[in-house]
Amino acid sequence: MKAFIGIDIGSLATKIVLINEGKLVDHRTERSTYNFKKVGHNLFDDILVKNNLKRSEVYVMSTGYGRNTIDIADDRITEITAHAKGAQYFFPDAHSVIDIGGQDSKAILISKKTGNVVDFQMNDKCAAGTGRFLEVMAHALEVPINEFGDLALGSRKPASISSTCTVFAESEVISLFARGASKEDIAAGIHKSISRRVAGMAKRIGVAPKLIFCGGVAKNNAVKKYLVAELGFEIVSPEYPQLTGAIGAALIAQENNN
Amino acid sequence: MSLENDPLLNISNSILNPYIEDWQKSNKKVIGYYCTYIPEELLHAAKLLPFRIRATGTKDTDLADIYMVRFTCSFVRATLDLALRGNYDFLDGFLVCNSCDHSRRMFELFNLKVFNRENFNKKVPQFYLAIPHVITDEGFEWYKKEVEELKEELEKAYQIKEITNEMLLESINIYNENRKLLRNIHNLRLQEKPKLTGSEFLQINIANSSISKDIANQELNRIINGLKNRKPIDVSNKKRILLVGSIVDDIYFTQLIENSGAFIASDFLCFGTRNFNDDVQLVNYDDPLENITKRLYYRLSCPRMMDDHLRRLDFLKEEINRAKVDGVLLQRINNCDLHGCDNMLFTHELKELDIPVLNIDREFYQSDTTRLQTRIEAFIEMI
Repeated sequence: MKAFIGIDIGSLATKIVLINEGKLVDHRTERSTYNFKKVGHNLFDDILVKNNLKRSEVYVMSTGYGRNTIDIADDRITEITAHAKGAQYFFPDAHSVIDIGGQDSKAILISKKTGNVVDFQMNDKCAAGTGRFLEVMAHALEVPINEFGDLALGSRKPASISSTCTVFAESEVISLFARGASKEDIAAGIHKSISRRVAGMAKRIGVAPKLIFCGGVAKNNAVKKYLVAELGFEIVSPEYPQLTGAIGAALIAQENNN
Repeated sequence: MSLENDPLLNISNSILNPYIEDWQKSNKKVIGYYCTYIPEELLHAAKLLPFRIRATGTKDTDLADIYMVRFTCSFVRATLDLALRGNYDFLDGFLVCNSCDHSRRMFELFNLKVFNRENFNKKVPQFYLAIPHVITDEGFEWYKKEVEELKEELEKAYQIKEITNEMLLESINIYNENRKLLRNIHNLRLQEKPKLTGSEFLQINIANSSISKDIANQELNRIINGLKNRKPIDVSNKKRILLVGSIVDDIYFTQLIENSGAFIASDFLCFGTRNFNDDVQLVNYDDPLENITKRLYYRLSCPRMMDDHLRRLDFLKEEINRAKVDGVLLQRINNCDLHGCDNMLFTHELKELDIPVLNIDREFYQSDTTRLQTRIEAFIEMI
């Protein structure tokens, strides 16, 4: 086997990575859309062509919510196990992981001895505390999602968003508008709300430093700032937080084939 | 032996079954009951067929949601929903106990909205049994009186001259035999090379609650004989787990677990060990009804019984060793505070003993299965 591919099919984004001798060689990210199979196939074909690889020369491990349906995978692993492994690729001394993706948020504890998962928590069937919540709120404020965090960081007096439900929070935002709150303050309130919720879930399993914050939402500095405030300790994010699961999957594929 | 399409196991997939239809054709009555705290032997002695109310196969609860808000137990709502759609019209009697507040309210709704609805002309006698929530000697006296009153009510409603001690003793023997047979099948499952899956075992337990025990005992003997010659199930690549918590009456859930790399080697469920672990001890032949009531009251409880958690924990510990499980899967139907409290305590207690635990909340009916599957698969990968 020449190389290992990890493909993480999330509800919002599909991530693919190529690993060779334990090192990240290439990667791609695309929106999953309703046809995530097609998106996965396109990314897969592209990464093979660009790296002069044949299908028979790679071993593919899938993860994420579409892991069971993507037919290019040789094996599959849950995103919990994949994120724990991926976090250790960037930080070998990782103790805990918080991953906030499009549909899920999860907290994971890693064994110091074995590097395996020892405990985890996932959010309930609800969009609160996920990337989708931020997307809906950014849309309500008419702010591009990649500028949303920075807008929140400009706030001096974050508004209070008491609702944790995406649907009700949206109407709460509208009533805050009506009361004349600034965009920055509302944005900050939204970011605080999601951080509070995720931190609450993470504390339940006893997360501690070194905590790796990953998933697409880790690119958002306001969530990071408020998570630190809620948890009471510093947290770190990898260079490519969104790729953590895919990298973990590829590394597990490599381990299983050695 | 193949259990696929076995006539007994097939009964578990639907509510009404051919055995019930045959039973009623010969002018005999079926009484629906809710929960396992009711004296089934007494119903059997009254020549009634006790049918445990369940909601297998429910996909949604639109009709029941008119009367019960969404945060009430989705199992209770699902049973009401089926009844509102006419699925329980075949019942000739209905017996409910105060297992929990949700089922208590459901009893009233069955009375008002199901058995008294327009164009439903059958008169269905309804019975209610109040069971104390704590296990004390005074509580037992209360419960015994309740059961004695129920006996009189049954005699009156079904025009039975008397449910005699001889009739009760005969029913006790049949029910003790039934529990023994279920334990024998359970033993064939929890061994290292099991003869049946957890899902198949659940199906047997569900079917057993939906037919007359006289027939059930013959059927269980047939299954046991068949299993003896069956090739063991290959579970070498699976993790053995103990399934604990809220009612499970639909194999979609156990199959989801067993398709995620697990084998349900044992359980602590009311359609499982909790129902057949204890027998009626015949200590007082002059008062068999008291013996029946004693079993019900002092047996292995579910969390509706307060102050009994440690006894349940002891059973879990024994069963973990007996079935040699790798981990424990605790589950509860959303918003059930009884199982919620018990599961939370179990989580801490078992973790202290270094036993891996997964604690999940779910809807009763099939919903959000991919996320459930992710949690279960991640747990299996972890242990």
